[in-house]
Amino acid sequence: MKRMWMWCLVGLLSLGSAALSQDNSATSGTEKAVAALEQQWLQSQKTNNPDLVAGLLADKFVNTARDGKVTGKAESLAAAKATKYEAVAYDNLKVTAFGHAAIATGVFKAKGTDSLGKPLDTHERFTDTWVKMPNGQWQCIASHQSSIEM
Amino acid sequence: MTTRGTALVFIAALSCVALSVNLHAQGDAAQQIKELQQQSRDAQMKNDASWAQQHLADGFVAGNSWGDWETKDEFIKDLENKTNKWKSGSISEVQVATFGSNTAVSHYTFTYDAELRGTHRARTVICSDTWINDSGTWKTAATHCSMVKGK
Repeated sequence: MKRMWMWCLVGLLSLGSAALSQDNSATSGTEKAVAALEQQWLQSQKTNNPDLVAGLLADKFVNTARDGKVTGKAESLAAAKATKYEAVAYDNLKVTAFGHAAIATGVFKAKGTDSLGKPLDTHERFTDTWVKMPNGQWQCIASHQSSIEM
Repeated sequence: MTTRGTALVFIAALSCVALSVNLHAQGDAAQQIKELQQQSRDAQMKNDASWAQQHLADGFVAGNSWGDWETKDEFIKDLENKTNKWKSGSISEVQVATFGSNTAVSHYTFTYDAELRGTHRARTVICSDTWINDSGTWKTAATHCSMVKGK
């Protein structure tokens, strides 16, 4: 009888460990998937090609810029189209998964010309919120930037 | 009406009920988050770390308007720091967008006057908070604010 209980316990522990391992691997998969999408977004800026990011933004996407200006998807894409980047880079990109949501944070550095044709030299922190949509695709629902005081 | 017709009307009625229940649930979530948003700022004004302990998700990150990041532990430590003093603070224009039943984003304006880490800050910031439903409890996964005006 004692032996049977012991085998039951071993079985339960194995099941728990397998579930935990699956959970960790899903989290790591989310983090990798979202980090790849953030790189695609950066690539769209590197190549001045907003089409690369259009599909990554949810219809209800809201951007809050470092000056407090709030824009929706269409306006954000129009601004991206009018901005010409000469150099862009991320620092310390970090993604944290929360089930079907994920938060990406990092530092964005860019030089170029902004949507109004003025010189652009920015150094800012950003927080992007991503959600796994019902069709399985990850989309960004909100992005917020703030200037780094030097 | 034929049996097929009755079945179609029944399915349509069921769909309407399901849609209505879903919209009602999303409306409830938005209202709940608006209330939590107010509680969150009230707790901050009172340096009440216990509220943050319960309502900040593990992995929480805060980006403040002067460009610093804070983890959950750092945020709570700041709340417990008695040298941080809030003279006033109010939130307005709270808007909540829900995405399914487990994720929401709130946008709002926060005007405050405070002594934070030895620096006087009186400013209006615009913030975005991400909320996640963790087994029935809404928790903040991230907050990020940027300055609109002030110092």
